Amino acid sequence: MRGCGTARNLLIASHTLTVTWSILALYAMISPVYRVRGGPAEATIAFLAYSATYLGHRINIPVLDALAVQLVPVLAASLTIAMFSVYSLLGLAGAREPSTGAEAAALLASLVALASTGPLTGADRVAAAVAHLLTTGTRYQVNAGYIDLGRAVAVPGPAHYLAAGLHGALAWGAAALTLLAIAGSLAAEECRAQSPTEEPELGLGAAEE
Amino acid sequence: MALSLARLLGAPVAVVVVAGYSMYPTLKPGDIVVVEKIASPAEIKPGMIVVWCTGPHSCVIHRVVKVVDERAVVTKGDANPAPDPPVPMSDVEYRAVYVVPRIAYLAPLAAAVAYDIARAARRLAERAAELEAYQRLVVLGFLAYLVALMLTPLVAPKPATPLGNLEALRPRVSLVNASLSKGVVTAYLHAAKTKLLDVEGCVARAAHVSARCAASLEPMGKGLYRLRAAPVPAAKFYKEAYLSGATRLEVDAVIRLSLGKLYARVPVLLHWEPPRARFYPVNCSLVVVNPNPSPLRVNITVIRANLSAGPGYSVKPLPTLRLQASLPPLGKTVEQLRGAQLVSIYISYPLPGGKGKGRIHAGGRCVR
Repeated sequence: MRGCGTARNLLIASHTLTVTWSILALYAMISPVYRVRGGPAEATIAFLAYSATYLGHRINIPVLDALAVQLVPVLAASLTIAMFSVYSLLGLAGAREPSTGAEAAALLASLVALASTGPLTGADRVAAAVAHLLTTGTRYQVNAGYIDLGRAVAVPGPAHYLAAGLHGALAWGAAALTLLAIAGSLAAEECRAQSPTEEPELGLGAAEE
Repeated sequence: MALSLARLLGAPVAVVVVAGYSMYPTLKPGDIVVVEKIASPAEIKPGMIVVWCTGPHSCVIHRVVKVVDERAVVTKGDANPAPDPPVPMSDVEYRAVYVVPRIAYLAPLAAAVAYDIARAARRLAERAAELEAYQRLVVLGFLAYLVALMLTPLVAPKPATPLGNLEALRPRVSLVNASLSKGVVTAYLHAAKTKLLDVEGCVARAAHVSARCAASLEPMGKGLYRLRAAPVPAAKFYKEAYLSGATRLEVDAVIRLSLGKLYARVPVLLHWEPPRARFYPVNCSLVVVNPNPSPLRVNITVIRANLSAGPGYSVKPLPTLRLQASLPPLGKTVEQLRGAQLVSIYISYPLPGGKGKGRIHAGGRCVR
């Protein structure tokens, strides 16, 4: 039978993974997911911001503007679960038994992480489509023949591998996080069953001994 | 599906669900039509709504407009502009007898679904009251996140075009005018949002003949540029083009732009002209001019005669001269024809593409 120590350790691992996941998710959202070089376009595309020039002119990419707005909840949720987890870790560090608040935060973080992988993967596909569009169409017909503006290439950045590449490091992280949170929650349940007289308080930190 | 089963079983009555707008407004998509089997083809009359099938699962419900010799029927959808092709009478299996409008069954269905949703929501609310506070926090927090994820696409801007208007930034180069004169192609190109820097390469083509060409680019101001290109070696290229009978010359030039390259194609018409011959009586000479950029080999036949004076003139023929001359491109040849008073000159030359020979004539009286 697992004790309170196991529950505490599992929840610490879950919250540590949550913090790591949140940092990686934030990194995936703000760091360049694609860089377009060569030809008429020069662009650095991140999910939340981008910088693009076409033939020397700074351009707005409406679809990336829309994407940035759609990822605001993911950004807010990543920051929130990271803060909850840091607070829970601080509480768990000095306690022997996990609190229900820490358990709730772990479960909520795992659900949020799982739900966020879809929008992040979708965002990567949108960014990939934009990068592809910027690299194509560099050869086109004009009245006097055709113009070739040069070969442009889109180089995926590390954020691409976090969000979508290698089957999405964030997706695997979210799955692992969910398993840890469930295991931690089950262990905490057993811990509470072993000491029924103690009423765990609702808070993000550890219960008072 | 219900109709297919009914057809399979030979059922006297079946139901079909309308799927298209061809019978609009009589039948709307979603309407249910009760159909009855047609016992005898004689029952089919114009104006009747019938079901005919072209396969086990593909049936059409249209109105009969004509019965052709009791062997076929012509049907038409009320909303269709033209009738269907004639359908064999044997394919018309059912006729519509009753229509259940979609509103008649969709409204109760929607009400039932709404009732079920309301019941489920009430049950969830009751369950929520039994949850621990932290469980409610997890559920509500996660639901709030899902709602936020669903609502943000509604507030996000809707892009009309994914990348905006990149077309407007692209350079454009148009061919204003092109001509061929003395074997040199001159083209005027107008450039917008770019500059034409220099010519990297150039190829001239006429039919199956091609050759490298020497080209130059000259800015004329206000985005206008003059491109001049001539095949190298010109004489050989135009000779082969003449022999092949080409009527079109294309210059493909690679022009470096301020960004990128223009692969320009300048087409011009190759207009071959016959050689021109002129006889000069004073020095009794013949000048044959080649107006084409290709060399030309001509055969000159000079029929000569002298005039002898007496009571009237008599003509004394002299031996005919047969000459051959090679005319340089855009050049001429001069033949002295002294020794006869009268000359009649026939010049034959090969036609473009080897299509026989052409002939021109000159001649006159030499003045001593």
